[in-house]
Amino acid sequence: MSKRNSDLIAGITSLLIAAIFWSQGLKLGTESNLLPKVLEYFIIIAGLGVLVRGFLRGKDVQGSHEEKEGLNWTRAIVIIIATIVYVICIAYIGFYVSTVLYLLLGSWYLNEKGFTLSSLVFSLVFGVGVSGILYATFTVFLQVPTPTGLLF
Amino acid sequence: MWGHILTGIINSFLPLNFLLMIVGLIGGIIIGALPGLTATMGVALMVPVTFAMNPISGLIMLGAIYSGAIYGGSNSAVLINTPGTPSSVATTFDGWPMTQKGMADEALNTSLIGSAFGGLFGTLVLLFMAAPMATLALKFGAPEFFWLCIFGLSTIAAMSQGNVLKGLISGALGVLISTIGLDPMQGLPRFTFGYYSLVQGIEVIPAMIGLFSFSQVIYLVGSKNKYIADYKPKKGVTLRVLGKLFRDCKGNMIRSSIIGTIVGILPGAGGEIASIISYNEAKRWDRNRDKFGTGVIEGVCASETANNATIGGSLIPMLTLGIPGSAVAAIIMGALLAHGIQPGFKIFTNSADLAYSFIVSMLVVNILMVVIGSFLIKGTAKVLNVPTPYIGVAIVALSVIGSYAIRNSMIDVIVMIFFGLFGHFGGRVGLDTGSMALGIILGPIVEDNLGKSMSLADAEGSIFTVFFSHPISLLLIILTVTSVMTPMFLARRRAKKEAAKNV
Repeated sequence: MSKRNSDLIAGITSLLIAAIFWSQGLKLGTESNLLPKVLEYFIIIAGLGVLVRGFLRGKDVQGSHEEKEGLNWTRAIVIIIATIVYVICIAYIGFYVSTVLYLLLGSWYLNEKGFTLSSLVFSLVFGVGVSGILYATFTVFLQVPTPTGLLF
Repeated sequence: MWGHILTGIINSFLPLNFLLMIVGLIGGIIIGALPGLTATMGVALMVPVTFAMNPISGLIMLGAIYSGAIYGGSNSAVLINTPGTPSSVATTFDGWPMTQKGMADEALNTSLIGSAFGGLFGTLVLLFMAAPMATLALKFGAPEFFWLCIFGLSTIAAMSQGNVLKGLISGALGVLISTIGLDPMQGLPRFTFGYYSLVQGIEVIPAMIGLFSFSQVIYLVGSKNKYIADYKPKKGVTLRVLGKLFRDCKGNMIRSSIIGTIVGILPGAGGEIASIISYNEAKRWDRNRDKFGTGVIEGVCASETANNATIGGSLIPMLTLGIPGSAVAAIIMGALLAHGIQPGFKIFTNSADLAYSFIVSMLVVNILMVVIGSFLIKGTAKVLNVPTPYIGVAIVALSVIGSYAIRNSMIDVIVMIFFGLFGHFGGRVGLDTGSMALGIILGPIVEDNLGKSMSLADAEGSIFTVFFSHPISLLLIILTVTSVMTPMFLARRRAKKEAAKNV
């Protein structure tokens, strides 16, 4: 991503967040809103500064090195969506069952060998094994409560 | 006194007590290394177990868990960029880059030796200087705390060199997000966006896990790297790191230990503030300050030495004044009270054997930690040999349970995911996750003490007197200004030098 675009996006994001907090704080009293208000002013001024800097920059200035290394966006977005689905499932079918499924399907999708039977078996062993370790550590040994659902 | 110290040495090496130290240390290191499980939680879980023991044995085990957990947080900070405890946030700044450079062994051993050194220093201060140091705690009021946190926040200027404006925005966003929940002055809900669960506020640990861990997982699974980092175990690395630390980082370790001990003494300030301030000071005093953040031993050493030094510091006001310097010290104080022992200066005369045995055992624990820690490192570092697809999804599962465990609330899991996404996409446009983390950690303390100071100012009729007339406040203001100006001054001097070269 070019430095120009990164400045523009960062500036707009900061202004947007400050505006959301500003609108939420309209009904608050002076004391409650003292520090937030100071921060909102600061973010708006600094965000405008970054935005103006972005407009003034040339289009060809290269930005972060991560972009050059190349990020596989399909894999990244699939894992983000899978994680959101995983968290939703936890609320319905419980932590351990959801974790086995997430680890199984997530590692099967991401592994280098592709969707083969052997990689599926390996992912299954991995999913059950890691969930077992988590169960032994958190539930049995430390007795830390985990989210429960219909199944476990 | 020396007679009591000798009794403490004998008690520490009794087979049962020595075994409890080992068990406590291992348990503490594991708890600290697991994201979401804090030293406070570890010690609190074990307090009921100590009721069946004699008070000396019980205290020895609690002390071992405390030390182990604070050190343990560095393991996950170094290996998977996930601070196990908030005290290890600053460890990720250089620990994770060191792992990515194939120097995980060096980073882990630095944190181990630094932690042991800091722990020993703090305990020696507790043993020999408890009384004068305790009076220092009493001189810190709300204005001094406010300025201490502002000094901590000034780290952002040093951390985000080259992009100070975005660093400052990130820090301010962090503080702003930390204001979600109940207003500390009036108890009114703020910025809940219609969700009642947000009245509880944003918990620091899920936010940290999201910012550092989940955001990194997105990058890891999307990258072409087969493993998180190249890792080949090296022989003799503990001794090599030990040599380097005592050769090149003596000043860093002593300075960080002093900062850690002093911050530890202050009630309400803990390892997270100490490690951030020490990291900033280490960077400011180092000739190669530009290398900080790229994976240098000095950064890990500063953070880890300071956070373990807070342990001895936090026990000083607890044992001498009956005022705990940290949440863990408060739990240990509860355990003492449950055994019928009243903390305060008289503890050193009425229950001298217990007090000195506890303090001496903390010295033994820190030495033992080097031996046990160096064995455990060999096992934990193997996590780097697990292929990225497997370690990536396992980190997510661990992050979920770690976030949930804090308050048994799914809202914390959602917070973790939100901050993970914000950290990843914000990072791509230059918004700094480290600065935001500092804001989230220090924000509530800043606001709390700002409110108290404003009330004081109302009562005294002068804001100036409250904020600017106390000697400690003035010292902290000078340090803050120096901390902010130094990077700017150095950058300008460097630019002038480069311009002169090009002429």
